[in-house]
Amino acid sequence: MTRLRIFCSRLIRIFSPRRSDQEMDAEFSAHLEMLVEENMRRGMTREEALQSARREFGGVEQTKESYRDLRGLPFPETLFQDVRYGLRMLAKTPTLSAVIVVILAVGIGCGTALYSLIDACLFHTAEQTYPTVQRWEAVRAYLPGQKRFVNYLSVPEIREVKELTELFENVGAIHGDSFTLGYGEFPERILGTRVTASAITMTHVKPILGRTFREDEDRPGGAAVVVLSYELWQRKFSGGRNICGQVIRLNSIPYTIVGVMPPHYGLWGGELWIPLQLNWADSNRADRRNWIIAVLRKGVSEQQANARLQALSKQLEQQYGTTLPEYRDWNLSAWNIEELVLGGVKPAFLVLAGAVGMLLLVVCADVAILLLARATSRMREIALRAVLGAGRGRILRQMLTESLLLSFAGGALGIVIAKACLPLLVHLIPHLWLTTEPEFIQVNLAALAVACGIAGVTGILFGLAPALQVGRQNFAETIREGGVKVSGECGGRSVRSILVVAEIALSMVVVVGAALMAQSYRRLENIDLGFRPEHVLSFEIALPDTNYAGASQIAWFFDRAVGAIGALPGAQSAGVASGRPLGDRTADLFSRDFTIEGRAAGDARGPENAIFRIVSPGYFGSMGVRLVQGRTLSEQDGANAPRTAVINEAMARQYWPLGDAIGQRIRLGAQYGRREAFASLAPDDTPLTIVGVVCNVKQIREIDAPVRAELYVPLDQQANPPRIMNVVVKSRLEPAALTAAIRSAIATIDAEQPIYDLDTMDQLVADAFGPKRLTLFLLLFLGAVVLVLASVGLYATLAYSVSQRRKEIGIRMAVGAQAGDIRRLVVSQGTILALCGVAAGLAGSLALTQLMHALLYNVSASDPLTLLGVATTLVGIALLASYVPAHRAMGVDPMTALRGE
Amino acid sequence: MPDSRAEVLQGTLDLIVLKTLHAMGPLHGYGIAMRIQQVSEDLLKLNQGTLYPALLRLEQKGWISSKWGVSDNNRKAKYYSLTNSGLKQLAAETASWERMAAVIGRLLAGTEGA
Repeated sequence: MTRLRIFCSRLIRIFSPRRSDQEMDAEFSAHLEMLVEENMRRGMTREEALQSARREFGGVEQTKESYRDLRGLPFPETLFQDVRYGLRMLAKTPTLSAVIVVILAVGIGCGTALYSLIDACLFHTAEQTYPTVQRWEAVRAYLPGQKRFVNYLSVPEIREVKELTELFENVGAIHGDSFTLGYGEFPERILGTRVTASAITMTHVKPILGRTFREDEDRPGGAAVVVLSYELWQRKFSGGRNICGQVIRLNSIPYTIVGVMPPHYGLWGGELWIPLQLNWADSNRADRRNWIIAVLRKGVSEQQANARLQALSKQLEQQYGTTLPEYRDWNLSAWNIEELVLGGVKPAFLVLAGAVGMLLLVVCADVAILLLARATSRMREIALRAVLGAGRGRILRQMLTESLLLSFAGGALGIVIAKACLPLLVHLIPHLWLTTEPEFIQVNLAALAVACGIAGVTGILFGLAPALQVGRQNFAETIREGGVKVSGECGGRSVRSILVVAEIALSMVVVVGAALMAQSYRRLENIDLGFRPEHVLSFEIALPDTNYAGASQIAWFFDRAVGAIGALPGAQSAGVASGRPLGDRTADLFSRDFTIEGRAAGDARGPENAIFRIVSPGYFGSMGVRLVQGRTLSEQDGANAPRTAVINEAMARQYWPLGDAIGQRIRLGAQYGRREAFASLAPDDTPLTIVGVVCNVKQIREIDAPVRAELYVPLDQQANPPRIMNVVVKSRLEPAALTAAIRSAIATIDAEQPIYDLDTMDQLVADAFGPKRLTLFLLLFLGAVVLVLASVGLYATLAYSVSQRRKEIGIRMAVGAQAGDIRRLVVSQGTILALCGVAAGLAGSLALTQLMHALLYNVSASDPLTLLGVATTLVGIALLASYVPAHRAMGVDPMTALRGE
Repeated sequence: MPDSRAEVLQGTLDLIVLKTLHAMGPLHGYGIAMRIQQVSEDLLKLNQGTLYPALLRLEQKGWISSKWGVSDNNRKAKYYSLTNSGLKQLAAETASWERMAAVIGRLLAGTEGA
């Protein structure tokens, strides 16, 4: 109670300090006056009486101070005072204060924005939507002979994995597909996934409307039902609550909507899901078209699962190895799905995260240097305050307040920068490159706290340094010296030197990383894509099996389409292919095993395998795929002509290294891949004759991935041609100008047939380069910022050192040093620091850029030219940063400098 | 020349002030100081200034209250007076002081006797 009252009465007085000060003065002076009167009554003169009164009263000022301490809440009151005074002191050196605040803000802002982006894209992509994602695994097979993963597996294999119930709490199969949704004004092509009923329930995500699939819907002949994603429901059906039970047409087949999933549930890569309806009795092991996904039991590790899967692989090899050569050395293993999805972008993000960390360190070093310089120049003021009676604690608090003021200002501005930068950054990055929904990318509060915390701690540590020296200092000496003694300054100077060297070293590492990335990107840009993207347009067409039941209808349509489009004014040529270059993200292309006539069917390495593409004769010319040997496909390779094939250089070199591929005959075997394009490839034993070799085409978006063997066969010779084909048009004009004409040309063949994924090949190339370009851009940006910060640090150190050494410089000049000597003095100091930094940076770069290995294409992580170039640049910048202070040193007037101040 | 006057014991100044106000009624700071010097016959060494922080502390605790008034010789002065809770506090502190004094006295007598 009493405590509370004291607190309240003190609190009240804080807010009216002036009035209570006046009261105190009045009270004290009344007391003194009474004393004086009393003394005078005793016969003293007024002078004597006053002196005696003061003695009896004790120190008036001390009493007032202790009275004040008691009266107010001491801490907040002096805090206000400290803050006011601190602001005034900071305002005295506006440039320095502003530079410190800006550096802090840039570090905190950029660091947090970038880290938030990285964190959202890499570490917390899926957890928000899928709570159990850490235990999701894809089971795939590795064929060591071909150095190839088989992602698609057959029904019997799925069944065998499903029986491993001791490993997996749930096993499902999925199959990516796309559908033409006939709803609304225009038919739209939509990515969907065929899934087993378990593939949705295993995610533990409940639909927000209706239900997911029942077991009886997920078997051959089961009901045609569909579950929609939230986004599709909103976009196409305007979020109607009574959607369940409604019938929509997918590829012209009616499906009943049974449920809607929650937002961001884009699982297994689709906007809608329909039952896979596997026939579990299927025993065809060569028909591999589904991914296996499984959820590990709690407590079962991936290693345990892999050991058991390996045992299964061995068992399969023993059982079927003789009839199915791919089972030789076949190795099933489990792969964490998140790892699998993010694996490709992980190295880039980790490198960026590392660079962000270094940025933060450089910021800290910079702030430390500036604060140290600022503080050392205030030694005299601090000493004076100490002499005048300020306690050590009070001085510490004052310095702390000033540091905190700077940190707070920097932090606040940093938050503003982070908030402003992040949406801009997300906006600048094409959606395709992000591995998460843009709305999930928020300023990461933990990162912000860490960044502010590190910057704040640095500020406090180095802001306090001078106050900590107070105890060890001879104040009178300090004051007389007019600042800091030349010798006594050594400690601070070496700390600053170390900081500068560290800073230059760190920035060297970041800049080397950026330079390596730039080198790698330049080489990547000059890579031969295997086709000519200029003036080429491509789009996809999916023919519904209701209207195009058989091979003849499909062939008829594509034949007409190619003819009509090729004849358009402005079009040069046209062709179709079962897949376009740079079309897929990963190496998950449809492939087939094959055997070479005259060679043993599959040697010890297992069967041969090549990517399999069905094309029309016009494809090679339109896409600009260069012929290397023999001929490309032509009209003569018709349905009744001898079966032919064209292979790529990689395949020719791999199997016919002597260059004798032309005329060789091969037979096709097992197939791997998505079913959509190849509805029913009947086993076919007719040999194909190789008639030509074309150059390697980059088929997947991982441009730096090696090209695999590839096989092109003519569309007209396929008994069951694919329903989904890419049409490729080479135009004379800007390809975009052709779009309308193309649409109407298709409409004259089939008015209801939509076309989609209409892109210029230039666009696809840009998309493929996107992630690399983004990484490069961000790294270059970080490198530039870090470089500027390091130069500021070096400049500040030298400038400060010059101002401290004025006297010394003055003496040197007085005894005959020339301006040039002085410049050399300063510049050599800068150069030594820079060289030390570069040396340390070189060592750091050699150690750290090895981690970038996965990101680099055709550039060694320790590329000597890059290292040398960066080192030279850094030293050059260091010389520039030294020049200004050196110039200032040359302007020192020896007389003024020697006279003291 | 060593000063033979006693320092005011830490904590006893409160008791002295309370007792003075109790005995004399409302007084200003100067009056309190004079009264203390008078009663102690100048044996107590008191910087009169130190009185004021003590007065403020007592006021904050609610044991005394203050009011501006006019002194005998027509000077504006702040008068302090004992409050009810101050009265209680005085009784309590007096009792505890007496106990303490008795203990110290006995202790010293015992030591001398040994």
